[in-house]
Amino acid sequence: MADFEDKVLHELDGIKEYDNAMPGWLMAIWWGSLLFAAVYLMYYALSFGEGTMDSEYRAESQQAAAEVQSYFDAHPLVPPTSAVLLAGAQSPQVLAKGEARFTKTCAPCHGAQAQGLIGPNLTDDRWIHGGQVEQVFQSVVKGWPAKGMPPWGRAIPPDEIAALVSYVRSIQGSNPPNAKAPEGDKVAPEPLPGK
Amino acid sequence: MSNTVRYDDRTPRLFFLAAIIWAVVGMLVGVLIAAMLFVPGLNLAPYLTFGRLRPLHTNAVIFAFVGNMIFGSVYHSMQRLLKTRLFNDALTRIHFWGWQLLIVLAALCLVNGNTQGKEYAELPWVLDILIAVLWVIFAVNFFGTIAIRREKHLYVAIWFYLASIVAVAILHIGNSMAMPYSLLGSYSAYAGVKDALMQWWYGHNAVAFFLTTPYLGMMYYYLPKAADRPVFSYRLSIMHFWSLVFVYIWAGPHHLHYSALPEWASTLGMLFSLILWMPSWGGMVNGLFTLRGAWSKLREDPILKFMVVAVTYYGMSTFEGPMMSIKSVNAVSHFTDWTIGHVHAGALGWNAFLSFGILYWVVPKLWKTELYSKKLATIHFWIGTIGIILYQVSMWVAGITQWMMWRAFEPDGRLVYPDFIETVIRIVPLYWVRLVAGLLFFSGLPLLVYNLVKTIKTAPANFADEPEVNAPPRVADFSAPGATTAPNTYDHAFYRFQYALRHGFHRILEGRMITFTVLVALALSVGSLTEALPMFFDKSNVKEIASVMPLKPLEVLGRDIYIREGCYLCHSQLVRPFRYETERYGEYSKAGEYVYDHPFQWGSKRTGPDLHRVGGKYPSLWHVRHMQNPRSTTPGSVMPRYTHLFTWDIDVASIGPKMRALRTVGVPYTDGEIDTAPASIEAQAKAIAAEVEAQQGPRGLAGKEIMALTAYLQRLGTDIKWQRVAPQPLVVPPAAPPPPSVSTPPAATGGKPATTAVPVALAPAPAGGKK
Repeated sequence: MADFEDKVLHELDGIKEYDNAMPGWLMAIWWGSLLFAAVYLMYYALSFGEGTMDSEYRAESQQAAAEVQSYFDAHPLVPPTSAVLLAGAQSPQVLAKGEARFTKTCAPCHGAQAQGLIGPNLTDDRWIHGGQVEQVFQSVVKGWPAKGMPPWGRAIPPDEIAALVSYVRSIQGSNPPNAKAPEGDKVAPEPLPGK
Repeated sequence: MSNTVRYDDRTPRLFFLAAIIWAVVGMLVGVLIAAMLFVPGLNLAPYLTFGRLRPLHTNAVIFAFVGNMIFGSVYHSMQRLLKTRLFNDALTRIHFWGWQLLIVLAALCLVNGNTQGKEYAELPWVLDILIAVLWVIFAVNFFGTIAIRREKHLYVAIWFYLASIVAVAILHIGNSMAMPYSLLGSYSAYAGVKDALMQWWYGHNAVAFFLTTPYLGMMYYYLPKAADRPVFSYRLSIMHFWSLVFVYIWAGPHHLHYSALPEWASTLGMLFSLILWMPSWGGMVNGLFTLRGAWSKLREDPILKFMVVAVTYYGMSTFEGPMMSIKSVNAVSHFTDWTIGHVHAGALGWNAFLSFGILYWVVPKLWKTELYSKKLATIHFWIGTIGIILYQVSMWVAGITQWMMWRAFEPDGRLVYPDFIETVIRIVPLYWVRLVAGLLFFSGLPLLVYNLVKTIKTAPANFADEPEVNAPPRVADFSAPGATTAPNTYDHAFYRFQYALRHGFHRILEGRMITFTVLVALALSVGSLTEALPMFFDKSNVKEIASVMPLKPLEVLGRDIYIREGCYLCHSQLVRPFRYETERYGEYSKAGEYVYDHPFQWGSKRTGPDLHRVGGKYPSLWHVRHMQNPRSTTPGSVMPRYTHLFTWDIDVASIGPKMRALRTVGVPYTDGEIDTAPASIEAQAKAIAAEVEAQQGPRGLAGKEIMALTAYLQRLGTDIKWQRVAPQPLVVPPAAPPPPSVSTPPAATGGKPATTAVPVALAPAPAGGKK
C-alpha cells in the first residue's frame, strides 16, 4: 500500500480526499470484462441461432433419448404376466414393497386403505378401466391423463409398479370404512395361484 | 446574507428513530415467515399466510427500514456537505409523516391481500401515487437544498444521492403503469414478457438505486467520518460512479435467463452484469482503502467493525451477483434458495450492517452525547455476523441440493425424484438453520434498541438546540469561488474557465447541479431504452400463438385470487427449456402464451412446483382437496391450508370493471362477453362443482372462490397443444416371455434379448391438450 502518493486534493466538512491512482488489478477487471463482453456479443450475434436456448434444448433431449434407448437395448423391459402379478400377491416381500409405494404415491388420491378419495375405490369389484391385473398394470404405467391419473411409468421403477399391482390385488374385498361408491363395471377377481 | 446557518437535526433524528422501529418490525416478520415457510400450521389463513406476509417483510425492510435510513442520512449529511439548512421545513415534515403513513397503509393493504402481484412493487395503485408524491417532495427538498448551498462543489456522496433520486423516480413510474378497476385493484399496463422485462428492470434497479447507490453515498460520508481517514481516491470515485450509473440499469434481464424473454435481452443483461463487477468493486476498494492506517482502530471500535464488514459484504455480493448472472450459473441458482441467500448477504451484510454502524455513530452525535456501551455494540456485531454467515451458507447448500435433486435422472430416463415434495423435505433441515440464523441476526436488534435508548437518555437537556455553524456565502451554479460579484466580462469568463480546467473537467460538473442531473438521467436512459424499445416495437420478440385466448370470466377471478394469496411467491409459471424441467412439468413456456397476462406471474422462487402446465394434470377434486388440506394430497407438503376459499363467495359483481380494465390494457374482450360474464361465471362454476360432486367430493361449492381458483389452475398452460420431445420407453407390448421373478426384471430377460421387442414409447401426451 505504500506506493500510493496520498496527496490531499479536497477537503469538505472535515473529510479529506486523496487522488490516488486506481489499483491496476481493478482496472484489469474492468478492461477484461469489457473485452469478454465484446467477444461474447460478437460470437453470439454471429452464431445465427446455433447455440441458442431452443437448439441447446433439442440437442440435450435427443442425446438423452439416445442414451435412454441404448440403456433399454442393454436392459430390455418386459411387462410381467398375470401369473407373476398374482404370485406376487402372496409374497410378503413383494407386498411390503407394494404397500410402501402405495402409501407414498397412490394413497393421496385413492385413500390410505385404497377406499377411494379423488380416484376410485380399488378394493371393490368394480373397475373403470379393466380389473385384470395386466390391465391394472397398464393403467398404472400409462395412466388415464384425461381423468387425472398420471402415467406413473415415467416415475416409478417397473418392479415397484408390479409390486403395486400385486398389492392392490391382495386387498381386493377388504371392504375398508368410508369407501367411495362403486364406479365402473363388475369384474370378478382373478384367482390367486393355489386357491 | 448571514454568515451562519442552523442545521435541521430534528428531521434526521426522526428518520433514524423510525428506521429503528421499522427494522424491528420488518425483521421480526422475516423471522416469522422463515418459520411459516416450512411449518404450515403457523400460517393463519386468510390474513397471516406466507403469501401475504412475504411482501410485507420485503416492503418493510426495504422501503421502511432502509428508506428511513436513507432519508435520515441524506438529510443529515447533505446539510453538512453543502453547509446549508434543508430547503424547506414544511416539506421535510410532510415527507417524514407521509412516509410513515404510507408504510402503515402498505402493511394493511398487503395483509388484506391488496397487491399488484409484482415483486417489490406490490402496493396498490393509490399508494403508488402517494409514493410518487412523496418522492417528488423529497426531490424538491434535495435539489432545493443544493440550490441554496454554500459549498460550490458537490461531494461524491451527493452524486450518489442525486442519481438515486432520479433513478428511483424513473423506475417507479415506469414499472407502476397500471389500469385501475377499483380503489385498490388494478392490472399492469404491460403483459407477459414485456411486463417481466419492465418488472425486472425495476426490480434489479431497486436493488441498485435504493439499496446500493444511496448506501454508497452514505458510506462516502460516514466511513471517513467514523474512521477519521481521508477518502482513498477521488479519481476512483468518478470512475466508479459514472460506470455504475451507466451500467447498472442494463442488468435487469439476468433475472429472466432461460425464460420466454428474447435471448438478445437476456444476453445483454448477463454481459452488463459482468461489466458491473469493477464499478461495484470500485466502491468497495474506495471504502476499504480509506481505512489504510486505521486498521488498528478496528480492534476496539464496533462502529468500524460494522462498516468494514458491510463494505466487505458489498464486495462479496457484487462478485456473487455477476457470477450468478452468467447463464449457466443462473440455470442452477434461479428458482432456488441460492438467490435468497444472495439477497440476504447483500441486505443483512451490506444494508443492515452499514445502517447499524451509522446508527451507533450518528445517534450519539445527534443527541450530543456518547454511545452508552461499546461492549453491547460489539456483541451485536458478532451475533449479527454469525447470523449472516449461517444464513448464507444454509441457503447455498439448500439451493444447490435442491437443484441437483431436480435434475437427477435414472439411466432409464425416469426422474430420480419425480415428486417435487421430496426435494423440499430434503432441505427442511436447512430451513431450520436459516431460522436460527435469522433469529441470531434479529436478536441483535434488542441490543441496539437498548443501547441507543440508554444513549439517548444521557443526552443533555439542550440536545435539541440546532447547531449553528459559520458558513461561506451562498453559491450559484455558474459562479467561481470568490468571484460571485465580479463583472460579467469576457476576461472574467475566460478566467473562470481557466480556473475550472485547472481542477479537471469533472470539477466543473460538480459545480453544476442541473448539468450533472441531466447527464445522470442520460446515462440511465441509454440502457433502459435500448432494452425496452425493441420489446415494445418489434413484434418478432413476442411471437403470437393463434390458439392462445383470453381467460374466461371465472378464470379471471381465479387469477385474482391467485395474485391476492401470493401464490407466485412460491410457485413459478415458467417451464425452462431444460430436459429436467420438461420431463417434470411439460413443454417449456413460450412468449406467446403470456400475451394476456397482466401482470405476468412467472415467479422467482420454487418452494412448490411450477404451475404453468398444471391445467388438466389433476381432476378438479384434487385441487379442491389440496386447497382444503395440502397434506391430504401431497404428504409432507409445506403449503398452508386455504379453507377460506370454501366459505368466501365469488365476487361476481367485480367482473365488469375488471374485464373493462383488462380490455383497456389490451385483452380483446367484446361488449357481449362482458355483458354475459356473470352468466358465464355461474355456468362454469356450476360445471366444475358438478364434476367435483360426481367424483364424490364436497357439495355446494358452486358459488365459492375455490371454483374460480380451480378454473384458473385447470386452464393454465392448456392453450397450446404439446407433446414430450423425447418420449421414453416405458414398457414393451405383451407377447414377451414371462420373467421368472418380479423383483428383478432386467435379469429376467437378460438371457433372451432377441425375443423382446425394442422398447417403444407408449406414453400418451399428458393431458395438456385444449379442452
